[in-house]
Amino acid sequence: MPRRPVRDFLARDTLLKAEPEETVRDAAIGMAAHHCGSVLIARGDALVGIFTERDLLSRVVAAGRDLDTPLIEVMTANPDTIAADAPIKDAIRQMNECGYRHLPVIENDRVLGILSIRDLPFAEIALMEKELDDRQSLAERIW
Amino acid sequence: MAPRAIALLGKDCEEQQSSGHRASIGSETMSKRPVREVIQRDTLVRADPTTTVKAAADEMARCRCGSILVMEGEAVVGIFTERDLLMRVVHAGLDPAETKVGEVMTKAPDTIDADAPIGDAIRAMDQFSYRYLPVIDSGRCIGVISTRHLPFGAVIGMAWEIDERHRLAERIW
Repeated sequence: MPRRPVRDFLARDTLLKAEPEETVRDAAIGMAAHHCGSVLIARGDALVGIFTERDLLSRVVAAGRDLDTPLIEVMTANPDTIAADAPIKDAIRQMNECGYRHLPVIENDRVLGILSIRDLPFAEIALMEKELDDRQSLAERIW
Repeated sequence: MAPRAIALLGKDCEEQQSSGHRASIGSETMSKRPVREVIQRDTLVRADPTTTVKAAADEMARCRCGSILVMEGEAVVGIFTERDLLMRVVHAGLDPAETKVGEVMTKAPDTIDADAPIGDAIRAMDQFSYRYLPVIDSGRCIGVISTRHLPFGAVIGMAWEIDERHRLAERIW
């Protein structure tokens, strides 16, 4: 199978973005309107963080912060990403290892989109079966 | 226990290459194993209906869990999730310290039997967009299955079937 890059598998979904100085309230309004569980935080086109429902739960509501808190204080800074030119195999490996369902895709320091587990080609995963299994066994030993 | 879905994909993949059918990958193996194998924890993350959203959020954050079961005694009367916090509390402008979780929970949630195959859980979660399903064993709730902890291989194995269903749904709608 040819080494197809991640970009070939990107779905053209709406990409929810916010600036780091915007507030949790702004992000929550956008997330609610789009039924989306996460917002990418970017300065211009440069990704600086991600803010998810989980962050809203644990870093805002449970932490007793108010909704006017700027996102930069409660986002996850520098999230793992994948390059648009990376082989799709690398994305599969990363999602399997880290348990991610979504991975921001970057091109020339610009956010291009989000790769979802749903976008993955499973013929390719089938070919990687042995390798992924070995890694999983390793993870079981470590944990 | 970490799911071993990927290992189980092997046999079906060989069948796929010879028959040209890809719908069955994974669904013959991992997705037929019982739901009880992928429940994450031994103790329930739970609250009373009169608990405040703030206190429920504290407990969810402490347990690193995206949902909390709302229970009266041993009966599950509702479930409250991260998504409910976003939509029904924060976006609705309610005060987490004043709102009772019983007022914003999803009442009488669908559940799944502990002995049902994982594939049934994946199908139900996809169809109804549930991210958490309470798991019932002999009438008692023994845990919650979440999309986050579904076995990778089983989800991928069913991707074709699920996509096909979505295409059908789009035609119907």
